[in-house]
Amino acid sequence: MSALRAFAEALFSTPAGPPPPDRIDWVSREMEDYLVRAGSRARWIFRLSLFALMWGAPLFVGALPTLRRLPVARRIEALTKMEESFIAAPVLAVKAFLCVVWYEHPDVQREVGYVGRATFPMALPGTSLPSAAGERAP
Amino acid sequence: MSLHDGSKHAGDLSLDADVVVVGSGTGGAVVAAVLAEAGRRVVIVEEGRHVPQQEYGRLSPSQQMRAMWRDAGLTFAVGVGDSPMINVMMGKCVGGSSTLTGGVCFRTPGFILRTWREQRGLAEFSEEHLAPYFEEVEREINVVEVPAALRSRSTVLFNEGATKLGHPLKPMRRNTKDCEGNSKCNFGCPTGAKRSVDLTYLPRAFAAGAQLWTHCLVQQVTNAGGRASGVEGRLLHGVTGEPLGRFVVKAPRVVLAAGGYHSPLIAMASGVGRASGQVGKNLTLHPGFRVMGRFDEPVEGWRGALQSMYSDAWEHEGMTLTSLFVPPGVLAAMLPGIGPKHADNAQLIRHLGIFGGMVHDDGGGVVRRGPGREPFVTYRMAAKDKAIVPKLIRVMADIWFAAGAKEVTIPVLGTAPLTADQLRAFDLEHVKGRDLECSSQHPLGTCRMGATKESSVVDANGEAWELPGLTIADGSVVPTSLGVNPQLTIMAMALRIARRVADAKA
Repeated sequence: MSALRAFAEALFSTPAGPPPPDRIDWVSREMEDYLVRAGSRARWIFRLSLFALMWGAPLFVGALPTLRRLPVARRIEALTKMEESFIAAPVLAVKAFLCVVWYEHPDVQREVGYVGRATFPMALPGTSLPSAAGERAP
Repeated sequence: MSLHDGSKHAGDLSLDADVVVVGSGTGGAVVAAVLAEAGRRVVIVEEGRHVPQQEYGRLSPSQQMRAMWRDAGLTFAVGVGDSPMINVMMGKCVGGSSTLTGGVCFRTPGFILRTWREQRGLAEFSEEHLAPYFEEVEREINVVEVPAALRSRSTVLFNEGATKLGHPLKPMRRNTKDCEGNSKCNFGCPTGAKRSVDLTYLPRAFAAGAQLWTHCLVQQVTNAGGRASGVEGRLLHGVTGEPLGRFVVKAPRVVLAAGGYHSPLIAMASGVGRASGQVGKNLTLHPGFRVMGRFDEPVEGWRGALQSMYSDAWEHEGMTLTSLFVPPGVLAAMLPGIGPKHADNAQLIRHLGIFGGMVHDDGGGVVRRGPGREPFVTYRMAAKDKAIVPKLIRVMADIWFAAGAKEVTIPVLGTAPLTADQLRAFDLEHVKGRDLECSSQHPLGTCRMGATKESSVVDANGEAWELPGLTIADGSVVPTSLGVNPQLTIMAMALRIARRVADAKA
């Protein structure tokens, strides 16, 4: 999952820098749980996409693979160029599933102004819950 | 006890019944209720798990996808030729896709039924003939028009734009009771307002004595003397889905209701379709495309009913527009950018309106046996359908601009939001199929109904031409795409099929 963490750090960086490590820890755990439940073919597709962007994205900025060896700023540059290229599919696939999970974190939802109902009140078996300052799942 | 967890059963499992129903979604639940109430001993086998409404209503979208969607939402039809890769949403749980739909209910359009009569030889299928079935289902699942007060701001804005352009939207009907407008239908109704079959037909089936076993993957229909004699398969682990013991259900009547992807797979494994060559073919998907409008004002489209209005103004051109909304994570995934650029775009989420359009497609898909337990599905979009897509996107974008949107995000991968001038200059007509972002919720037609065994898989009563005792009653028997959401059509057809089975001699 270190590849996923490297991607998540770049994708969810803000002008203030990469997101807090505990949030990266949380999204990594959630994604592991997601993939366990997704079935073998879906796992294979996801891991293939992750492999492709780990080895492919650095080439867009003239760096040697893998992506996780690059500083976060260079990762962002590489992934941006790959996302805009004709082989964007691996970036878009991994980004899509990370976003679905990431934006369920209460802190992130507050940051983007989402006030929808019923997020994170309970856990699936083996699924961790996020904790956020001032807001814990009941 | 009506509900049994197959993942907790030690060793192998053997059951006897009058009827075994494979799948507990819109088709299977209706059939199970009708036949149990007719006095048959009914066993329902379901591959997925049972999550009670009180629990699934509290899950976050991604948790719900993990618990109740097939492949946790990673089901695809692979585009062939100039066609997009299509993400296909399907339920794998007690209640099936009925727990995940927006609840939209349309009767089968009259012009579609005419096609079935004239081109498919299904002489009985008139609006008059089907009306009693529709009426019965509509009563049971409480189909009502969505009140104006439940429309989201996103839908209100789109309707304002459409009205300015001379095409006001129409109110939708949905199967809801006391809907609060939480905009979460696709991820399990939080209040039980959506009258999905786990809250309607399945309790009726249980009250009449039906049993339901979860975590049961049916691999094939068994055959004794040229007649269906039951089903066999594997019990599955509750979390990973790994195979455990074997199970057998012996029954003189088998009803497949596993949906447009899996009913053909089971039929193929059971030797059905060798003569006609039709099993798994003719897949239609209603390929769907979303266009988002960005407004200066906050839209907060998650306040209100997920779906409440539609437009059939372009029905004659093969497209239907329907309101919808998606969770912030899905919205964010559709916006371009990595790092700070992505963070900037995410701040726009509450300013986005979203509307969907679907193509009334020809059957260009094929379901084949895959290397694992899931099928390998390809979809070749017909040239006429692909030609509709640019028009569909432009119509929705123009409506957003008429409503006051500053930019639109179109479903072309890697494309930044566009102003009206930028959209006019955008060469939509030459976008390759693989660059389109496309989704579907309506796989239909892979065991289609028809008048002859050469051109179809089941007859007008849902009975398989090639295996007496096997009935199919789900979206796979719908002979053509509908151009509208198929839930009500599937349920009315399943009800009609179930009545025919109930009336037949055992």
